[in-house]
Amino acid sequence: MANQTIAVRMEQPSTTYRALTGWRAEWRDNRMAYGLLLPSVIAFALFLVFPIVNMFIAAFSTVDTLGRTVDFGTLANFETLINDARMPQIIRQTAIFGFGTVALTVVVAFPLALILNTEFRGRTVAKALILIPWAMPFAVSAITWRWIFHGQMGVLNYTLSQLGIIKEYVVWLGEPNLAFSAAMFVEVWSSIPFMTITFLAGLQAIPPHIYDAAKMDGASPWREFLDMTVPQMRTVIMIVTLLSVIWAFRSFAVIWILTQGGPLYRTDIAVTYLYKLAFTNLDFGAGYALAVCIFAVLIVFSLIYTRILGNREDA
Amino acid sequence: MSSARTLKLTGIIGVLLPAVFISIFPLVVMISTSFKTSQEVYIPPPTFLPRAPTIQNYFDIWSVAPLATFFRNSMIIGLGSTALALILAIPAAYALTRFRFRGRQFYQLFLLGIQMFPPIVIILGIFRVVAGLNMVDSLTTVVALNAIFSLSFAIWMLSGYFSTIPPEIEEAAMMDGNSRLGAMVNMILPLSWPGLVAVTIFGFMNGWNEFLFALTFIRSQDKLPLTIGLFKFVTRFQVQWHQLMAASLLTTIVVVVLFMLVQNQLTRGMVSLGEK
Repeated sequence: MANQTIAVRMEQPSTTYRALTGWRAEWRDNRMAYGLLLPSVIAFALFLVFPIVNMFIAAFSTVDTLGRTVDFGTLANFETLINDARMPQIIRQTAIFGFGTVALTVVVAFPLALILNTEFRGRTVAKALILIPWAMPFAVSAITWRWIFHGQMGVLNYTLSQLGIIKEYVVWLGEPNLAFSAAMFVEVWSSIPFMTITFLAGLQAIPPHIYDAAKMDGASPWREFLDMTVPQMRTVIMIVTLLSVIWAFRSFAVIWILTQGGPLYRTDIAVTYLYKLAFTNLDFGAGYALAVCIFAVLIVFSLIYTRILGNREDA
Repeated sequence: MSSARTLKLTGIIGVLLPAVFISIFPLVVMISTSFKTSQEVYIPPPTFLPRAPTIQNYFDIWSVAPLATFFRNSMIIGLGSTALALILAIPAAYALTRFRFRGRQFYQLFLLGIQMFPPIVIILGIFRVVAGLNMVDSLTTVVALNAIFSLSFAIWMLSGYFSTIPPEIEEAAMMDGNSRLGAMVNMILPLSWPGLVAVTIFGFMNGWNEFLFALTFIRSQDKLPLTIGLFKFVTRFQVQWHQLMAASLLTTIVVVVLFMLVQNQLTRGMVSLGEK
């Protein structure tokens, strides 16, 4: 009891002082660390943080023809965006594209990982070949898909007509719904390797002994999968799905190369539309506003992602 | 047991084989088209394999487009951004693993957060800054921006390697008269070479595959990297697909070979992001 009183009395007047000496000790012990971090911090500040701040300021200002921001504190850019008749369509297409490609990728990648997790001849080769889309430069594969989808000379039309599936050649990238599906397909194609490999790593981390009991009970492979594998993989699936939704915003290049958002904005998603607003229509104000909106959505996803990761690291 | 075997066999035939086929399909089409003559490409019906394979395209592409210049620019972007990313990442990774400073956790979270941040979302902000610095149409800009977007992965990956090296090794080196930085350069870097190789190749691939920054900032033809150079080909009125595919294959080979070399480290590093 007496000890406690003394401790309290000693601490009370000295919080500021202690904070100061704390920082002084911190500086003395870790001066070198701050020095070593400085170059990377400056780089991030200049090319990442400063652009973001700059973009936010511009979004809430009027931007004149020379790109200067005048009278900060207006919502005019956001009003332009809301009054843009194409926005509902863009939002719908973004949602379908983002969640659709991720769902399709999970549906393909999970069985693939399950198969690659078993022993069979040619497994290493199969794994290496599955990784090919990841290794290829993305722009180059998108160009090649454009060639495959080509209306007159493309190998896809030829094959389908030889197989009797289509009678007349299809203009894959000219018809809105087909072009949208084609873009989704290419996006899924390019996302499968990463997701498969991540799932595979998750499966390999499951301790084998948890299956022993199931084996002894004579459980079917299907029950074993549902009762053992899926629960073990739940967090991995959640994290990867979230990561892929964030990455779906990267799909700029695939759409830009395949269709440039056409025909009639029907394959545009938020990121391609943002680029068009600014660099094609030269409506930078609306572009900033849209970018800020996408940024906000991404921050929410990123926070959930880091939260889940953080929880797992504590555990 | 036999039902499990049947299931596995069905999976291999029904899922794995089609997936492998579709994964390599564009590469196969690319290779096949690149060995075709222009008549074979443009006179229907299309063929799967070249009827009369020729390597002529691989000679022609260097004169029909400034391909050598595109190659040089992609090299500059790939190597330059990697070097810059390493210079910035090595000290940062060392600080993160060897010091327990205030804000360490914050910086780690920050790195994790921007790791997956798609640059397209902030491209307009970057555009404002680059235009303000008068750095439009410069390869330096593209190099710097690629370095920034490889940097968090590089720091993350190198920290992983540095933390596996016991601090006693540096302490011993410092006893022998090395400074702390000297100990890092002489002891830690050689021991973490697999990480350095992986980061180098990852950074190079990032730079080589670069699309967005060059599309936005490069105006002069003689500064275009391969990706944009080839893309400009596609959007022209008359596309010479057989030549384009030959150039694409050369572009692809460079990184696919590198990828296969470090496939294991790279996938482990990337996967640890999703799964740490």
